[in-house]
Amino acid sequence: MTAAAARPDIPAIIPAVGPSGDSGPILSVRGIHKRFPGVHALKGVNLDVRAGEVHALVGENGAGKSTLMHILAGVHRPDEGSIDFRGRTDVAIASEREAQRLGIAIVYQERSLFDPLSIAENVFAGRQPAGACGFIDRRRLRERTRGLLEMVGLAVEPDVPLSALSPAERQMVEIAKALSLDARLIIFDEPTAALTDAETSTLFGVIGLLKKSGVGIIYISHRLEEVFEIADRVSVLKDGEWQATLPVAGTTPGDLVARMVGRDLSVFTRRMAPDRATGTPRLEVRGLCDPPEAAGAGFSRVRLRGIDFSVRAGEVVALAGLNGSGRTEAALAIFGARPRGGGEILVDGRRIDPPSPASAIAAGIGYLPEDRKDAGLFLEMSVERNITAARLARRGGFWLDDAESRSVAEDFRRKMRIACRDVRQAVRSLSGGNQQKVMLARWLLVGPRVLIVDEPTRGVDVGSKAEVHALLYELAARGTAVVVISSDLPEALAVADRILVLREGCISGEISGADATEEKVLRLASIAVER
Amino acid sequence: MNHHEDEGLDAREAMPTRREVFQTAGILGGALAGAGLFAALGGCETKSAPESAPAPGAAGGDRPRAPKADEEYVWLSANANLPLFTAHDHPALHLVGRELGVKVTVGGPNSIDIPSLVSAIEQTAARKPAGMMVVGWDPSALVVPINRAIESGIPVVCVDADVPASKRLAFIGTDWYDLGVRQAEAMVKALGERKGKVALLGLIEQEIDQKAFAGFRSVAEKAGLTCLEPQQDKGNQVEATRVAAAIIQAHPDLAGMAGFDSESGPGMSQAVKEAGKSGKIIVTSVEAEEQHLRFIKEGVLTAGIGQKRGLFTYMGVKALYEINHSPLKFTPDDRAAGIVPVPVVYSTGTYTVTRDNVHLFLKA
Amino acid sequence: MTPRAPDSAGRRPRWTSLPREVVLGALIVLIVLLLWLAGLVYPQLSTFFTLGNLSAILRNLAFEGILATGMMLLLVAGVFDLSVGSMASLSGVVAGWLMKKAGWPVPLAVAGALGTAAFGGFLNGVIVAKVRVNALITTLGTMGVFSGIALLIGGPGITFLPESFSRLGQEEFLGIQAPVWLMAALAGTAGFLLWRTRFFRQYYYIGSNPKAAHLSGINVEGMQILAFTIAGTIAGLAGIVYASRIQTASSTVGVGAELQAITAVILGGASLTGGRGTIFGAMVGVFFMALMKNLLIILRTSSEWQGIILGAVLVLAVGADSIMNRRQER
Repeated sequence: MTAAAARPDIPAIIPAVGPSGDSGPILSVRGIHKRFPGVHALKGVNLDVRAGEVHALVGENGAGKSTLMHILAGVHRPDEGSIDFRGRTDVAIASEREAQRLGIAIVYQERSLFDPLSIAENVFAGRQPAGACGFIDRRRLRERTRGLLEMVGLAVEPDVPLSALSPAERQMVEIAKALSLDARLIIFDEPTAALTDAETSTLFGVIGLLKKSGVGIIYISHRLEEVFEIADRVSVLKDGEWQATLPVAGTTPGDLVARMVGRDLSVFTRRMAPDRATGTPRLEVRGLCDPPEAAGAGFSRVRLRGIDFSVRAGEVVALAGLNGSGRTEAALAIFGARPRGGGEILVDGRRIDPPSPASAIAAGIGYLPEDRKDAGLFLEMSVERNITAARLARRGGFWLDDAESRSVAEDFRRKMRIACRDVRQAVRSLSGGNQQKVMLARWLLVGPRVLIVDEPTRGVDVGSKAEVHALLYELAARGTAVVVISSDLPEALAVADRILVLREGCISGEISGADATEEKVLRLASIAVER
Repeated sequence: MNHHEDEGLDAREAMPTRREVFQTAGILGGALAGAGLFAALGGCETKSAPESAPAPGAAGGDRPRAPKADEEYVWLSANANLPLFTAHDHPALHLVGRELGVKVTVGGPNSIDIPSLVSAIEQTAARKPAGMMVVGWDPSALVVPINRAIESGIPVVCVDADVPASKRLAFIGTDWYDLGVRQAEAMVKALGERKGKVALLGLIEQEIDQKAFAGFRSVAEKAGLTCLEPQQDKGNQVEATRVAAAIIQAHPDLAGMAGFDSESGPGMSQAVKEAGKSGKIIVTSVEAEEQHLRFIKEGVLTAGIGQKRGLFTYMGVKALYEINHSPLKFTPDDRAAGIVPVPVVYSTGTYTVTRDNVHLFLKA
Repeated sequence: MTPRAPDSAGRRPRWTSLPREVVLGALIVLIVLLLWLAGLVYPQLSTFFTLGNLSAILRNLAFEGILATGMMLLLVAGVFDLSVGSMASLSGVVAGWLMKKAGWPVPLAVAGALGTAAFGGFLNGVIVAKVRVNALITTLGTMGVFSGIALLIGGPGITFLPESFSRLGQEEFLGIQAPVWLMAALAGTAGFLLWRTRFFRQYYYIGSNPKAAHLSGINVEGMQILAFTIAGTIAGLAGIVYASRIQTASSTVGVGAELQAITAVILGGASLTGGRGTIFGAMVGVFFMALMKNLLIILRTSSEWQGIILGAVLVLAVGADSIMNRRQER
């Protein structure tokens, strides 16, 4: 007997269709377009997946991979195009439930789990096996879950609450959940980000089994080495457009990278930096790493593993890397907003102690957060009050001088051309670009020695992007050391004197601005030097 | 569009460190211990050894004379730790418990929470005490739980406030109609020849207050006084002061004020005093606690009608005890016949404190 | 760059684009209307607008008014405190006990009571800010603890407090009782500090967005603990002053007062999410509620109706404010 006897749940997935390739694609996607306000995310994408095939999907940040997967999973609906699935033409996937009913499952990065509930309740959320009157049949729930957990190699009891599991174990629960759906098409979205080597091997084993049962698999990953280990074919997306679909055996990682990049970089004005070779570096980061228990903290599963770099006065350095590489975490740790496990931060040669935003600001570091609405702006407060926020806790004087604040804010409004009727207007009514200018004004006001800007032009319209960059150049010209974190490669290439590439919590390489190309950066960001 | 996962800003939402957890535990533990200490002191139980062994097996209608081991009588009320109760009702309860050699317990919620009182009655009944005294906070909601307790064989009496619609075996408390009458008499006497308007304050939805209003009116209106419509003071001194002050201002020719819950007196007196109308507006109230005595001494409050609160619990337990142990029999099996060997209504009476006799009541 | 074009997505009534302060202004207008109504409603036209009547209304709102000052600070900072009423009772009782049973001189007893209040507030602050238990749950718990301790110490009340103590609460200046002046002084000081000092301005930032405040170098935790401590002390002051006024330390004086204070403060412009509100607004809210209650008493409406009307006003005010806020959002 096959494994089916030992594990009662597998029968649902046991072959109805033969192994890869003999009956045509189970999924065929043609001409998919998807637009969001201001962005054309998918531009006529084609994709097909055969039964029993592992089809990898690669592309850099913002290429459209996630959007495409969300369309397949029922989260979004395409504006144009058709989807054929398992012989049915032009299916409409109207909701997540529809997708599940059709037989499409997507393994998220633990986003769909509920902490207080048990593993079993999570795996079968909304689909618990029920008895005659609609009451949950706990025995069957437990048994079926146990079978699935065995399959993914998770040695935990089904009744254990999810909160007791590590991120890696939760990822396995996500996978078990997808398996429980008896899907014919399973999409894995960066499944190994939190897994150890051993767990990754187990996952690949499971994928192997699924292949044999004729399930079609779409595998999204930044880790090109994984793609080459497990995938049969790979498709490349760039800027919402399909670039190529190649058999894995017939290509190389470098080849893929080349296809992922190569855009018209003239959108941004290239920085013409005078070569400033001044003495002591303005900002020095030595041995920055996370404390040992940080692994369980919140949703961030990134661990900083020892980061060293320095920035000189007047330099603009870009921190590039893919999602989850640790750029924002590093910035927060430098700024003192995230607990450090080790390492020192020095500004003009002096250590910053204790690690807190207040002492960082006192030492002259400013930080512009990635999500300005969540952690940067005081939305109901006025433009004026937002601009003066960072000097509030610092300056000596007891009394507020509202007239002076207003004139300072007015000053910035004029110089930076912030579009608002009045500086007393609530900042929430400004456009993204203008909000970003307000944030910049806040830091310009306290005259930082170092400014770390996290995604400076996210959610900013094209016209304002250039203005923001110009402001950053001006800051640098006045002697500030500027660190720009950007997921937008062309932007990083345009603004930086040097580019530091992060990968999985440490710096994988440094490229000077003049020599940098998208390909070089992406290569450093996604391919490990050694595995 | 990009579908980022959050990069790192949630580091602040990290789980508390062990030290912080212990800090909380220590603080909360200390707070709970304090609260527990209070609860223990406030709801204390006395346990006394029974004086003699239970009487040998009694036939049908016989009642054993001596208390059984662990014979328990429970007093149940809402607002169970109201200072008024802890000052008068509870000490008397413990006194009679010691005297008779039985266990006495205080029960009920610490706020005016009728559903909790109902459940307290039911839970108490489940452990089959020798008798229960219930303060009738709600004459309709308490009918069912009281009846159920009685049907399960537990004698139940009402004290302080009655639930006449129930099968309670007796009521021990003040006659509130009479209380209203006495207040009116004191007011009429103090006003002498003056006529005019009189304001009434109290927990107007309570039946006992309504009885008192009626008693008051019966005397006052006959004497030619105009009674204004009763005002709600929520049983709260701050509110009583506020309401009284508003009435005083709205009716500059107000002749008198009468209050019918324990907080009305001090509240009204405070308002009258602050308005500078001591002596010009005659104030009477129920209860003669320390605050009332003070106002009587100062001449602001003309008369405080005190209830003999200790009697509620003292006679309450005694009534229940007699029901269980009385040698008096009317029929061979009184219980089956539904006859109790105690009066059905104990009117515990009142005493009036005025300036003339206030010195007898003051402690210092 | 041109200013952003008006929102074309859906038509919204014009009144929603009025500045937020209009709600406060509307409240003031409402107060004026009520005053006019009062003139009609009082049995004799002249009796409302007399010093005696106004003085009576004022001294009967002073207790909640003092509490509201502290409560507004907390709401600006994005938190609130359900235990202030119980703390008022507790500190009154502590003062009374120290004075009468322990025989301390009055100033020392008052200091001791204020110290207790400050400590209680500090405790709240530490649990909310450092241990991160949410303010509702924390202060619900401490409310029970404080009122329990107050009953334990105070029992049925501590009467016949020393003359020297009660003079503080009973003296009148210009026909208005001392506690009212104290409330005015406290509100004036607090309002001024909140409005014009750098230090207290930080509370608006903390209430508006604690994460951003932290990233701007503001010591969010420390400031929150301070806010609770201040609010606790103010609650203590309210209780002591009230005990002085009635010359008795009652252990149940503060029951329900915290909700009244929160209602007044929200009517006066505070938002439960923080970052908004002024002390002036809090006083307007307190005034409005007192005036409304006064009229309802005179009109002989039952207290149930009082509750319904006040509740409805609260919902309307907060609802209008919320709609106007959303209109401005992008």
